[in-house]
Amino acid sequence: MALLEVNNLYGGYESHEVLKGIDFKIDSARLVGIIGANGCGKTTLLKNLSGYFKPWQGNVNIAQENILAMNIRKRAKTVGYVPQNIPCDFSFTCYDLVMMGRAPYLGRFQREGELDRETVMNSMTLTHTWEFRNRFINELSTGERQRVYIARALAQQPKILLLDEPVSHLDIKYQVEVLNLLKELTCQGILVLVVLHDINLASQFCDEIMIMKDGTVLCRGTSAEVLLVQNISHAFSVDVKILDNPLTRTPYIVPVINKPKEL
Amino acid sequence: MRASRRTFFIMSILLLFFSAILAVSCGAVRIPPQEIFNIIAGKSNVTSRIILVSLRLPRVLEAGIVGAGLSVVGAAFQGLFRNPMADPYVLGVSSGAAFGATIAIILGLGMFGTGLAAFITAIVTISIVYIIARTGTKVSMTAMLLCGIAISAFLSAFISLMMLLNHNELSRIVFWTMGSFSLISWNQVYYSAPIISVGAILMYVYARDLNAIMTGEEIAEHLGINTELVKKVILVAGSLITATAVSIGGIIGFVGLIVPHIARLLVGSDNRILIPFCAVSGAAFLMLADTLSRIVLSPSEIPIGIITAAFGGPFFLYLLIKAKTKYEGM
Repeated sequence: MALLEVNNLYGGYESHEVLKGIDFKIDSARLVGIIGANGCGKTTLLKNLSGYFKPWQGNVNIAQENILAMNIRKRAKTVGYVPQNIPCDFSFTCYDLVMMGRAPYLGRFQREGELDRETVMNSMTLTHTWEFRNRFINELSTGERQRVYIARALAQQPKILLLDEPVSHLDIKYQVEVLNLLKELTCQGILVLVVLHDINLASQFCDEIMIMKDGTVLCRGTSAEVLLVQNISHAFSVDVKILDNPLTRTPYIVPVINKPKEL
Repeated sequence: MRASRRTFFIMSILLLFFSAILAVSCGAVRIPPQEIFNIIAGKSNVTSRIILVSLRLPRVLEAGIVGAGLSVVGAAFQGLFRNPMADPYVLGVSSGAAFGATIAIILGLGMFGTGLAAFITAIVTISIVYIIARTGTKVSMTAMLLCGIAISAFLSAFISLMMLLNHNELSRIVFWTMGSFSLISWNQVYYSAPIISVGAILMYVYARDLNAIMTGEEIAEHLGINTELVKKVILVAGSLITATAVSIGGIIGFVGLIVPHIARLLVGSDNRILIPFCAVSGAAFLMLADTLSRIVLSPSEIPIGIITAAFGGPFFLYLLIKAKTKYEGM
């Protein structure tokens, strides 16, 4: 049974077509890194997977149920989403913010119960944010905030978690921390799809890599299978050399820089 | 954390209670608190009883209802527009109401006619703003803010022109636009209380969804919240409350902007606590402001808008300076 199945997906904004026929199928929980040049449709793909955008054609099925056939609350219980820019110009405590993740489970006049508090505590413990539960979100560093938002998505108890460039603004310590966390989540049975800019981080951490090019999936597989010179140079239009990461035995990409001509 | 929120809430209810007593007893004829209890017990002279029941009480209650309504709308609009500058008048309700009221005053339609005209033009104005800002089934909050500002400016031009051409009504128009509760009777309380309380309760019911929308509209949708529905409920309830408040008290500035910020500094951003807290403290604030407007230059009255700005502004600045945590205005 496929956990996530995307069939012949076309979509975009207004009259601008971004996704041009995407097909893939993922059977079990794992960490999938999505890479590709700017504007190739990574974010649009995530928004179609989450049901926020309506595909023009084709469909997205999660655990064999069409995402658009679900109501908005069911969808929120199925897919968690962490956007690229997380707003933080308000003073909610981290605990209250994570508790918002329980919204799809609560009726309009229902108060949070023991189960909700327990789920929030678990998601905050897992993301190592429990210690900031009483602090305001605007007092935290970017990396800490990112983890709080991941905790909120986890409180939704989703089958699939989508993250749009969660580590782009983080220093190397937090990058490693967040990616390690995502890896841990896959052990909880959650399929994690993450858009990454850093190919080497993707290579090192992800179970599987999907390279996108002009609204289509160029290739998908383990890092050793897809991180090849011809794929990278085709997707990003750049010359690269591929080395071997001595620690993880995964491909390590370095760009080939043409020396500036001597004057 | 939670305990201190409860303390503030109890304190605000006590403040409301004392404000009400103070407001009822102060005025051209002083009715000391002792006398108020005598009146309630039914053993007092007829004059003070009439002053209390048919003059003071409706006026004080109305100030409280309007203060609660405007503060709740201010808090909800600031959250909805994710803009700390937002207030109940931001969508052009005030200019719309002033436009109708100005015409009514010039035509000599009387108190009731002026209120009704203000209510109708306020609702028409906000509907125009909504229709212009809507694209398909979605409403952009930024587009609404900009439309509100543009239509406000447009209507203000006509109001100024009408004022210029009708010198003899100038002071009445100016007095109306600065707000006053001087001519309130029970009739206004009877129709405004249900509208404003239903509107405020609706906002409270959607407080949790509003919290999520404050953290981003798109992200709220990913939390399973029908953001378009929530926006519509808040906009409709907010517009009805504001139009009702304006049609009764005129354009009382500042209360809908400053009370939510003061409340947020004390109890935080969570709308489930903020909205009831704003209702209670906004009511107390406007009751006190109305009392001051009666006694500062007694026996004549000054517009309540002058009091709200003159006392509310410095108090807010004081809290802002004293605030321990960084206050982002949201």
